[in-house]
Amino acid sequence: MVTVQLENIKKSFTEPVLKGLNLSVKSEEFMSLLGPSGCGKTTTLNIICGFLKPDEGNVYVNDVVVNNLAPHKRDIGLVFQNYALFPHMTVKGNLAFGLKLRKVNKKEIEKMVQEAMELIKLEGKEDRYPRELSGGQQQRVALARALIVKPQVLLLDEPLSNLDAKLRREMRIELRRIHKEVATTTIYVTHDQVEALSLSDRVAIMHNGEIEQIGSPTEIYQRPKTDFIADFMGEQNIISGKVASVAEKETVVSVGDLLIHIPDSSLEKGKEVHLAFRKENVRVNKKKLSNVNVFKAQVIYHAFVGKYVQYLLSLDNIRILADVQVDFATQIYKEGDHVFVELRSEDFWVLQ
Amino acid sequence: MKIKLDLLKWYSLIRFVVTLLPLIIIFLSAFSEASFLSFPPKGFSLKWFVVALTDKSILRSIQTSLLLAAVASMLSLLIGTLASYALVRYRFPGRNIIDSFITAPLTLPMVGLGLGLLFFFSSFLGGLSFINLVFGHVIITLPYVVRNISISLAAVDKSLEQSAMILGAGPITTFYKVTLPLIKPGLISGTLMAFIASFNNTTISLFVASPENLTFPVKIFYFIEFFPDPRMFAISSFVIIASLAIMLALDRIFGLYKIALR
Repeated sequence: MVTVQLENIKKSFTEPVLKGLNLSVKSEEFMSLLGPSGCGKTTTLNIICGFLKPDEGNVYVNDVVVNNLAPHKRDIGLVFQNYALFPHMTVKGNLAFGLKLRKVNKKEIEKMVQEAMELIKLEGKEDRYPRELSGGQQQRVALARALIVKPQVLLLDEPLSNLDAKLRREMRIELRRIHKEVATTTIYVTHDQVEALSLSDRVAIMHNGEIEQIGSPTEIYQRPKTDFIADFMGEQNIISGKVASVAEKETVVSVGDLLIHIPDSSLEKGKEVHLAFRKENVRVNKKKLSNVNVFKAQVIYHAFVGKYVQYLLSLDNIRILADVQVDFATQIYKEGDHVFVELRSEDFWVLQ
Repeated sequence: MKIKLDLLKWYSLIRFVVTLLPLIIIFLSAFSEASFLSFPPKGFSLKWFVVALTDKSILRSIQTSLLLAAVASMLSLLIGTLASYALVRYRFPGRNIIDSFITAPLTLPMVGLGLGLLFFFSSFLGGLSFINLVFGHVIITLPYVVRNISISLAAVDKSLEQSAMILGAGPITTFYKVTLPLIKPGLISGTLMAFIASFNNTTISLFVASPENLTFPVKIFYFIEFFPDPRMFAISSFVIIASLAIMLALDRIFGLYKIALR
């Protein structure tokens, strides 16, 4: 079942911001919209809420077109980056706001506020004003205020970016727990890939007003489809080459003088391709241990960062990064050392 | 540190005396027995208070001024709130021009404005009526309201209004339940400043107040020019004390400082 669907959404201000965006979020799913600032994710959110109207396209909530429905009739929960708690109301006043508008009776409101306070573990702070709470507590009140009216969809706009690193980690776990408990369909907007990966059932990567890839966190991380996503999901090695030969189970790509064997067989001979591989999959040895995908290299730079050593290596004229796990028995190579770089053929993937 | 504190103390004292001295002189002179303006006062009597408070034309001018200030500040509050909301919350063509247009009377020479209004009223709006006087005053009181409310409104994050809406509040409920309580300090101080600006205004009124609508400052102005006797001192000290009392009362009721500091 689909709860939120965006169909070919276009929106321009002075320049086009959204260029035909399609997205469907399943019922009870936790979906992240991940992208750099300016990619259109906040505009998308504003369109779902009804604060902005799309120039073209349709917004569906539970299969009903809501394009012309005012925000207050959309039954959506929203949490802002700055929490946006009403400063002139107590925590209880904030929580009861949406309930009063729905004409819930006083007794019921009292009960629901109590339940919400338990959910966010802030019992006893009902009569505080927002300014008397810490950032993390305000964040949780904002979340409870959005959830207490039992919305069909919960939207979170960079909710953790004003918190410090430790609190962010805690709130990630809290968000996950609360989502499990209330099971509300959730769209989470963020530019932080760690948040998106750790929280979501699926991640949609936005770039230049379009969704470039949708997939599970592991898919997105391990097999980013494009140069942009590969780069955005953390430093990866991207090299360009030409398909030299195609066999049934193995394709060979030539990168300068190097021949790289990859399992992908859908490519055509002679095509220019971009190959990506993760820096933590690169193995660095003193000796040549195999004949396939092993390349001579020289250490240009190394840095010991505790759990692993970062190398910048030069293979012919190509520079690659390698993160090599180390323990007390591992040899650490120094600048100028000659080494062999080894990769498995399945560590490579082709970018579009 | 001690020297600094002493300096500050002296500065405050001098400021205080310089500000209050003219008021004290007026107050003391009101008790004079003489029938001309003099300082130090000659003798002691309350007769000028009696004269002032029984002078129907003076009382009428105070009444006119109070009514005028009340109507002008309320109208400014109404127009100013709507104008501020549009100016702060929306981007539209001509926004900057409208903004400068509203604020301009604060910086333009009022004599020019008064003269312009006089000709405008007599040529197009059928002469000088109370309504036209209100019109003239709203022009000079509106900037105070718009400035104050705009500042308050700009401090109210849009996300607060959006939160209210997404929680189910329509635009009007959102304004009453969220925006209005948050801009209350700006509303009160803006309206109060507008009231005072209208009540104190001499220049505009001098041009556009007709004889039957003479305002209090204009009345004093005429009296000083044509009948300079201590009754003006008496009535002025009466007004000064009344306004002090009103300010104190307002502070008690609304807690102006508390609101302003929030």
